[in-house]
Amino acid sequence: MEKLEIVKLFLSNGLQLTPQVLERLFQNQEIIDKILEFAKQRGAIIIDENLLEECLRDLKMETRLEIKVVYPEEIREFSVEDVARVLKERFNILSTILQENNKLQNLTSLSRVKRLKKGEEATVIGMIKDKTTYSVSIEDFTSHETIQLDAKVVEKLFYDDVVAIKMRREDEKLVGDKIFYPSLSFFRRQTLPESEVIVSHSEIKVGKEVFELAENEVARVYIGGFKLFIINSKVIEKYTREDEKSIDVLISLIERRHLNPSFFLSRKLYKKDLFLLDEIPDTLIVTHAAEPLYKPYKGINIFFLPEGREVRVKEKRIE
Amino acid sequence: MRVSFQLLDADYVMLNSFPTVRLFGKTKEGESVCVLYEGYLPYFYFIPAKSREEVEEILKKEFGSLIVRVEEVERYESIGFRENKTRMIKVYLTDPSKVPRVREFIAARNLATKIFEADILFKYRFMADFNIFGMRWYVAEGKEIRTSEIKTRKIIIADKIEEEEGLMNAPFKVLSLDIETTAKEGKPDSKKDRIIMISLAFNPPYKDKTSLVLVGKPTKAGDDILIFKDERSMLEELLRIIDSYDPDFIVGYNINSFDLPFLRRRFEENKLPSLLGRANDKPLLSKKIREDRYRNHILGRVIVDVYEIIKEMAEKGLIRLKRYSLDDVGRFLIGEGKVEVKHSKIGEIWEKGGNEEILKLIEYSRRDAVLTLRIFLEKRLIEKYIELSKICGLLLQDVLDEGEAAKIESLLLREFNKRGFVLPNKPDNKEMLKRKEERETKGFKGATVLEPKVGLYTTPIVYLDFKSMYPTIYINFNICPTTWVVDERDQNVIVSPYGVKFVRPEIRRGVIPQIVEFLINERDRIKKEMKKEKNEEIKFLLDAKQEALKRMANAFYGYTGYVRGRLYVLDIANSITSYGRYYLETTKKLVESTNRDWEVIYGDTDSIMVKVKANSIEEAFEIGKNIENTVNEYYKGKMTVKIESVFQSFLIIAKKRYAGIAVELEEGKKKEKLVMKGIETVRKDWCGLTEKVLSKVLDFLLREKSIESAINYVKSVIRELEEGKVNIEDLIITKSLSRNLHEYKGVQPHVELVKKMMKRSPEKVPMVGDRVNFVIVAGPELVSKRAEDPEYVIEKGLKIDTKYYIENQILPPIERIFEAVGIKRSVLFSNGRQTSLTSLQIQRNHSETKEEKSVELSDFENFVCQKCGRVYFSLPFSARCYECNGEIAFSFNGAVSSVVKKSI
Repeated sequence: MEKLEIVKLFLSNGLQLTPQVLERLFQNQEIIDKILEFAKQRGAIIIDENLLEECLRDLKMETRLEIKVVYPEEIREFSVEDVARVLKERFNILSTILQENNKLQNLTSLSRVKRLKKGEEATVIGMIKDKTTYSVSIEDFTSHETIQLDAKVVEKLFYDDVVAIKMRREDEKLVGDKIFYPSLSFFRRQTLPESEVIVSHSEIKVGKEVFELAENEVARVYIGGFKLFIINSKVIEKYTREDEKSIDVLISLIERRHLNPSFFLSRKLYKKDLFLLDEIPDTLIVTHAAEPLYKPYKGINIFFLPEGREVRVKEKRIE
Repeated sequence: MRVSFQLLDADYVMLNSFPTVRLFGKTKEGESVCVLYEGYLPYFYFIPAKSREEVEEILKKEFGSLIVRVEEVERYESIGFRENKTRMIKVYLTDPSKVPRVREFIAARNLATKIFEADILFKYRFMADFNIFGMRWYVAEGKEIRTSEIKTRKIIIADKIEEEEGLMNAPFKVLSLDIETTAKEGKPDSKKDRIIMISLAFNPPYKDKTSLVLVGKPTKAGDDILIFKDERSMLEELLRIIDSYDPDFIVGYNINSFDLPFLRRRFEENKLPSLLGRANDKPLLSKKIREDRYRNHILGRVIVDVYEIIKEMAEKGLIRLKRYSLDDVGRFLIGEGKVEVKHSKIGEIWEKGGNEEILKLIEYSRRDAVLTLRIFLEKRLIEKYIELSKICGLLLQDVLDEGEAAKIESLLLREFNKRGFVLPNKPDNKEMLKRKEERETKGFKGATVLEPKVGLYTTPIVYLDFKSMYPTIYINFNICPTTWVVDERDQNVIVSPYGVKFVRPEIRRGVIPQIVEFLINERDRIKKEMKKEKNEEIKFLLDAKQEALKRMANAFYGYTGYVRGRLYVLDIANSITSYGRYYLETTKKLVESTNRDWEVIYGDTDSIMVKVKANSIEEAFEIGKNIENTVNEYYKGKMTVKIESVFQSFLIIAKKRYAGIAVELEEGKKKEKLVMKGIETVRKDWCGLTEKVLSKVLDFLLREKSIESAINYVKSVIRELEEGKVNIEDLIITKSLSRNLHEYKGVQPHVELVKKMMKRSPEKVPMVGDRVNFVIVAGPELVSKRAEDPEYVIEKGLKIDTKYYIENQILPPIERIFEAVGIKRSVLFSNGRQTSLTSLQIQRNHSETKEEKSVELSDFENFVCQKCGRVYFSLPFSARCYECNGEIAFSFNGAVSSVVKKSI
């Protein structure tokens, strides 16, 4: 069964599932009927992990904890059209997230911006295509335009960023007043793994199981419903300017929902773009960091991990 | 006995449980003097919540003999007009240091509804009551005494102190001081590092010596080199020299934040008292006020930090340099710099250097003291501060160290008290919060700046100034906290454009209007005197005086809006700026309605610029006179404008950003000068080429009045850059390595370069304190990682990143200038099409590699249009060029392909 089907099944029985429970049921579908029955008997409305555990204990059952490590698959031969396709896909996903997460007023497409009269305001969503000291050029699927911005704001934008810009017409020029990023909700709760997960540069230990970690720019680790993303600090360094701290740069990349936005800097095409945060990790580990650091941010536990050290994810410690 | 002296410093001591004021000064004969005054007590005022008797009883019960007297008096409150005085209590104490305690007790016990003047420093309380001003001349009559506590040549207990006339200053002694330490890397640590040398320079000479270097280790001695076995004995000798020479001024370069705090600490470590002043009971005082900034006080002497004065001049635009090191400032101001010794090598030379190297180090150290002294004396840095001290009353050290508000409040205290007014205390935290909230709700409207008509003007522009606009506003409209109407009265009031009322001068003449009127009139009188004066020295001092008077008069403008001020009244501050706005806007309308050929192109606070139709500068001056008369007749003397100059060419970029060639008429002669506001021509993160280009562009626009020449020049520079014809010296960017590498956060070009050099050529590695020269070379990594040593670049034939220099160095400063004259950046790049920067280069590369168009690429660095050569760092969705709709391909090292095939 697909996840949607599982959700529909439980909904039709007046039951809701938490995302973690859904993941576990998806991976252990043989227990679905038993959980359904148990929950109905209990008169539950929401099935969370506590209820799931109780049911399993009752039934003297265990679920398998599936651990999956996903590495990026590089496409070694690609054309300009392939790149355009990837960028368009990215634009689709991030512009949707932008609209969901921000209250954008007077949203319009770039082709209509030409009709704006002096003093009129609008908000547009586009991908950054060019930059000068005081302006950016952005593109959506209808057109492209140049918008004047403060030099300090332009400095913080990266090529291939997808942003919304609130702007107004001033004589011949379009002047940007505010930038919106796809962003994350403030209301995300922290999630920790059920058992301790220890991550070093070369391996992951989950309970008694040990998995080798291959060196990559990025990787995703799924431990049951728990999501752990790993990224090499060299990626972040590409976007770090003078006097900037790596953690601040990483947070700004998270807000963009893309950890390696500028294609001309990444120069690699992947089958699935693991840098694109279509999913939000519970924990994000930056490997090969200069100094250890832990910082929680909007429900994500961020660790900067130097070589030779390891992260204890549940305890939120670096050793 | 009578002694005449110029007042340098003051303090008090407790003798026999009562305060004795000490005034330190210098006589005309060059002797240091200390005048003691006994019998003066500290006091303050409050509006009591109970009867005088009750208050006295409570205070005496709590504080006993500390309370000398509790009097009932009548005084005017300063904030808000009240016809009658208010009943107040004046309480006298025996000990000034206990005033805060008594004040807090009164507040805590609700014995008062308001407290006044309970936070005035005792020395200034005394000086205000006795009408004593810093740096003025006084005659003290009294008895000469001797005491080992005070080190001045003469000590007098005075019965009487009276002011005497005196324009000339006493023959001051100036000592310049500089220290060197053993710190090997990083910032010197006063706990661990020792002083190895102390250099002193004297004016006048000390025992026929103009300089001395104290050296803390055995080495070849010289006439003006004194050798000591260790740091302690060196410090002891310093104390002896200072006592013996008895300087009035101790100067240095960054002496406040480095030499003196370091010295104080070393005195402590060596268990020596740092008695550098003119009394044995007060050592050197060194207080940290901010990270890396200290305030120091040496009793009886004045500390002058030449670096701080130079920085103040830079902030006012009187001096513009890339860096303000002693070397740079010395070369600029007096044509002489430091002795060349790498700062990072000092420790090594001291430990292991031979005689010759140590001697060079000694000369290096000596030069620092001598150079600072020369700058101080030759540029006559102190005179304007001396005049300020004489006007506002603050002691010279506080004139140097404190802000404008302190100067104003010193004057206010005297003038308000004279007229029966008392000043409120400085605001506490609660009051500050209230004021900040008020500013947020009501808002504080600053001075008006008219929207400029941006562009380049090659016809004359007349620049007119309102004569002392803000002081005149105070006077004309009787604006003062003492005239501010706080009740419902409607009669005999003046209403500001902001809607705030002030009583008319017939009811009460405001104190601040009286003060500023005096300052303006006095300035006018001094200027007339200057015109008649033949003696150059007197003329110089008069000029310093009139400058100080102008500064004081203008300083009142922002004072009532200063949140930490005693007399802060937001309504008054807003009223003043509303009048300023009224005058500026009214004058603009008047000028433009009088004559169609008169166009106001800009106005800022108290000046306007008018474009006129004139065929010559002389004609423009005549027209300007016409405008002057028109405006002055309209205001009927209430406000006056005057022509400052005529710009023969004028470029205005934005509000507060303009440049022009101004012509002034002085005694019938024309004087030309380049005026720049808000446009920097030097910045420390610019390379030499940027400064050259900016200066040249301004020159073409303003002197040659040719936009085309400016454009062609910039194009030629870009071309030369791309062709590698620019001298690498002009591309060098310099940054100081101010701390250890691991202390840097983030990625910085000069730090990354040092890391590379550590691996590559450790013998050449710059150390902390050294300056790092670098250029940016081409490559795919982040800019900071592409910083390279210029010598290495030449040696290895590396390519310069021309895009970086165009985008980050040359374009930013000149883009705005060109935009102001209607030139888009695309015009600056070859064929005038809206092409991106490096398309020239790519076009050239592209045409060179046309035959290899279908080469296989194993990587790419950006995208390029195969038709017009435009470069993209982000691929358009359509994979086609925005400009020409050509097909876009990958580009790598000049080669292009529509496919990338990466090797495994």
